[in-house]
Amino acid sequence: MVDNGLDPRFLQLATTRDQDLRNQLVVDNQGLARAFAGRYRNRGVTADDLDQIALEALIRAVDRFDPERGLKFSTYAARTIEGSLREYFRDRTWDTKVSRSHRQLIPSIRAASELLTQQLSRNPTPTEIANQIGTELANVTLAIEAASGYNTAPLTIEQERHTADTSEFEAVEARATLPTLLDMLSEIERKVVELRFFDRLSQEDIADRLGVSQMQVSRLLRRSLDRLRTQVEQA
Amino acid sequence: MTTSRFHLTLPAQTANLQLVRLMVATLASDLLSVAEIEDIKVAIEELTAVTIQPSEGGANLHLDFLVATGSLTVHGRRELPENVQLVAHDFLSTILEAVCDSHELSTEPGVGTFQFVKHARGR
Repeated sequence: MVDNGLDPRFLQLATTRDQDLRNQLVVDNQGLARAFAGRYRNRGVTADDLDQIALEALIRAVDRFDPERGLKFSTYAARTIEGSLREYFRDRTWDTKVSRSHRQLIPSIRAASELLTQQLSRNPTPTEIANQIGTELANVTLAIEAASGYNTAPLTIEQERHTADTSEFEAVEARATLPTLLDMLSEIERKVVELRFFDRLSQEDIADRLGVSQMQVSRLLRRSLDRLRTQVEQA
Repeated sequence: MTTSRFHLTLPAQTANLQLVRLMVATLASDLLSVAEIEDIKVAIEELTAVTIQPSEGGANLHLDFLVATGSLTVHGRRELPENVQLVAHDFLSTILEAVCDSHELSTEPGVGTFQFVKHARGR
């Protein structure tokens, strides 16, 4: 991958708009597009379609990149490609339509869950939550599924910083042996996977420990497992 | 003891993973807590993905769900091409041990199967 900081061709392109140069920059950076497309495999969209979406986004990134702004091209292109892939799923897949139509239920589900947990002294079932908020069970099931989906909002930077600051995180980092496969995960993903599957903490306990919601833990776990599975399949 | 059985047959394609997740979540909605359902969604997605993974084209995945008082059992089966084995990644057992009470993945000549059981807690 070419970085604009080392590649004067982006400055040249900005002034000449030379199409051959533009095409060469696209070719030189297509690995970035394919890498992002690979993250969205196994979602019901073919690999060819994902590559196409990512490649089109890369071309837009090359066309619109302004080297004068001081941003790395790889950073700019990554945002553009990731945004296009997310937009595709948000607008065109059933997965995300579920997310949109049921997202407004999530705060009610969370509140009902907390209330019922206090009342029942245990975690409620989806049926009990549906009864509590007066909606059909299917709506609760779909809303929870949407909330744990890969396409919902990621953790905020502040939350990731909060997590990274915890002493537990340092302890995990200090573990002598970690499975190589986990190395591909981000720090927060790896942390959640470790706590859930190696330390056997519940999602609620992990959420308490990291200062995030249970649904965010669920989302992180799902995203992490998707990435691990993709990595294994590619291997 | 009340027991209900459900059967689902669907193309063995990764595109159907979410349908499987929703199916198991719906069947367990009166039995397990939200957190426990998240667990079984992880279990069925991991096991289904491993079962589907070898040469997706053409085969069907057969899922049987046994919903009993206090527990859910899921059994999966698909036909496999000759000499093809289901291959689990190193962490599958670690993941499954954390999210369900028992599990099994096996390959016999021409067929791959899995099963897992999840018991309700604190009811």
